[in-house]
Amino acid sequence: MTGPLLGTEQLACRFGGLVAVGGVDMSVQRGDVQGLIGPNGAGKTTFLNLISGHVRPTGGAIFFEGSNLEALPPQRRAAIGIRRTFQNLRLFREMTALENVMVGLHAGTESEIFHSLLRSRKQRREERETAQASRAALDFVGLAGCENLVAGALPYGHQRLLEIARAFVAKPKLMLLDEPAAGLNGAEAGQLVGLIRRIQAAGVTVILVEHHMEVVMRACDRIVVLNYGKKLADGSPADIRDHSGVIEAYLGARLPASAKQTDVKPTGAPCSQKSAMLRISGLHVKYGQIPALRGLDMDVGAGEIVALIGANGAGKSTTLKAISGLVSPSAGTLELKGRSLAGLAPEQRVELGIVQVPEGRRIFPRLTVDENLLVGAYPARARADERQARERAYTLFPRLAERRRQAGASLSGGEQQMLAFARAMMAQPLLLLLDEPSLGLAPILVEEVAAAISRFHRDGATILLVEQNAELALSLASRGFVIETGRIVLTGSGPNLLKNPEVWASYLGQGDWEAAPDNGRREPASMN
Amino acid sequence: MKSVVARVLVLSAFVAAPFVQTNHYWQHVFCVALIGVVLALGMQLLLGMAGLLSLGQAAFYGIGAYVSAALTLYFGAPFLVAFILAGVAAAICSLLLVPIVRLPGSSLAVATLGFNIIIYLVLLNEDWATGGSFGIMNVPAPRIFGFAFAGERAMYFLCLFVAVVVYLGMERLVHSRFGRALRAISQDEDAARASGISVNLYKSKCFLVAAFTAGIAGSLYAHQARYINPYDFSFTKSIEILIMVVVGGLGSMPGAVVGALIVVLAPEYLRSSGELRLILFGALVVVLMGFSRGGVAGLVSVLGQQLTRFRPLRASKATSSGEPQ
Repeated sequence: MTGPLLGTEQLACRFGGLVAVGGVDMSVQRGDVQGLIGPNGAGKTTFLNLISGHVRPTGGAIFFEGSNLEALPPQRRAAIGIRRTFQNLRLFREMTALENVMVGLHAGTESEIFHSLLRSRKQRREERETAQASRAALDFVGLAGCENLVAGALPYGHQRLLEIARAFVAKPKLMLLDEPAAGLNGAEAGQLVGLIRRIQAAGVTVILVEHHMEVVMRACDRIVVLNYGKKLADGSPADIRDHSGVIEAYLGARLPASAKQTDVKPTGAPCSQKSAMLRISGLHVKYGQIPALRGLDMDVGAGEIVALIGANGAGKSTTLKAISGLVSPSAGTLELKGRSLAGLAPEQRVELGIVQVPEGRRIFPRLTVDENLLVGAYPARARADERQARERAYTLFPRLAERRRQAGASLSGGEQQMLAFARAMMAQPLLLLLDEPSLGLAPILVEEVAAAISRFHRDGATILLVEQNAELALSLASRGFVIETGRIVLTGSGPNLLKNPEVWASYLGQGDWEAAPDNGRREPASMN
Repeated sequence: MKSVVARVLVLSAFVAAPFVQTNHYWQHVFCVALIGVVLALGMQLLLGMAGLLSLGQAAFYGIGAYVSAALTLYFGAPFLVAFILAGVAAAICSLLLVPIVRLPGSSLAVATLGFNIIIYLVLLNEDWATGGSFGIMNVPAPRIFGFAFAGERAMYFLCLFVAVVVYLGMERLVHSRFGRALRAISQDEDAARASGISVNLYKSKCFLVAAFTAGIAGSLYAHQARYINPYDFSFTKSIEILIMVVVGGLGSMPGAVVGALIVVLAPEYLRSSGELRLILFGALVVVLMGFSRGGVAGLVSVLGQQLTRFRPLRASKATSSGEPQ
């Protein structure tokens, strides 16, 4: 067959008065990896939702293999070969990895209730073939051996791969990947590029929505840039890189330059006993039988920004959860300004001033932006000042002020991250724990977050920052800790770690992408 | 292997029960408990697997009971035919729910509750067909190929047979394409759709299977109690069925069995406490849920993990080391 695999004509979608996608013409050639990039809120995810059928267009048409998809519901589109992943990991969390992938083969199989009750020959054959194909798909994405683990218990990076396996297993014609690199470190992102290339080699056309520019540039054959629901540019990666409009709307100035605005004092020495805001010693945390932290020692001085970096599954999020009280340690001590945190519930720790911005945003979807912020000011210390604090938040994030009456769920991914951030500031934290604040943000917004972190720091907040984007984290932080399988393996001043080739090799993985898969190996017995 | 041994032991205990306890009243109570097991298994498919909170299961239970009683009493139908048609009639009535299966959690619960109330009022007021508040008396004892299940013990084994078959059937369903689709829907509807699952179709099928199960339970009840009236099928029965699966543990078929046994037997054992018995039963439910959100099944699995230092997770993880991600 000739002609594009997928074509859209004046495709449009508006939510109330908000135009998410405003008349986009696009054609995707068979066998291509088609990139789709743009600032947060540009309509990229809505565009994918329109193609997968999860959102109905308000105008225009979508053609798949020459025929109009029109009112075809999502499950029918899945059956004819359009599969997708989701931005915020939508796994069947309580089912095993294998079962998750087997669900992906639902449309291609037929056994119904009676076949299952009678265990007919057909049913047994289908089950066998489904399991076999699913194992092959797990193997394909690099999750061999994880098949009997419950999906929700897998480390974050593995969950991303599992979603890809669930979509890939059905041998789709078109795969829609929504930010598959979000939350992956450099080495893992490098492996992801390899995986996308292998998916392409298996004859699958891919549409890739992604903020990780290195991934986009390396994986894509063509790139479309969206801005405010309109097509801003369309071309090869090289064209896009040099396109002045794209640089202005999306990429912004390069990151390290802006990060240097922070007035950090690069001292590598641990802070003295007296000025320590947080002190962790010998911390052990287990999930069931699996150790996540194995004797972690670190400290955060008052008024300092400290970065905690490491591979997915190394124990970064677990460390933050142990500090905020969401998981309880099996051994070790945690002290805030010399006071032990043992036995304090998460909400009591918030009262003491430990506030976390969780990974994956966790905003309240049905509350308005305004209400989300006010909930953030719940601790007694913050309540009196809540109105001023809210206005400060709006000055910091003007985009949120425009949307103050909108429900949290209606915000784009990037705006939700902003909201989570602003909500935490409402509690007037002594110690702010940031879990992946740049996750899922366009480069230009990452800069805004970096600037916001610097500003909070100048206002006297103490910040513990966990980031996959180690370059960002280390350029902001006065000190950094590198964590590996639940232990601190390296520590030093931010700038020094940034220069350390060991750190670059194992965690940033940006020096040599081809060699990255080897560097990215890690012990899978730990989890995030 | 371990599970086979456990199954044989549990089944032996069930078989031995009416020989150990020869009191007819208690044998009658055991029958009711087994009918409760069948009801709980159907509810577990709805709530534990597909995440559908229905408060209308007693309606299908009642439809099954009345259809079976009427067919045998007024039309002289053999028990087996009446038994199957009771399930079929309940399943057909469940099609009335198709328009509402798309409702989210609490709305669905209230809508099915409304359905239960309507069926209850029909049973109560359509005297010409249902006998009104007097119900239907003298329902014949089951007779299969000439063998009459007249005694309590014979009836018990009939109930046990049905409960075992339904249990095994549910187990097969849970681990099939159908069951996976239901579990996927309960955890993320959008992702299920993206995998090619027609969410509303599968929810409707789930209601259908659960209604059939409740219908045959109703048939068993009609022929076991020999007398039925509308009050047996009001929405409080639906709540009782809900308590069975929540107490037993959501998502666990053995849990549904245990939950049903607790809900039927505990008040009987507490009978010596006189008027306090329902209060004690209520307190038992509250305390149990307070201890373990996973119900009895959750409690057992937590205790099991504590007692055995069995590490399957580790072993399977180790095989994945060295695989590039």
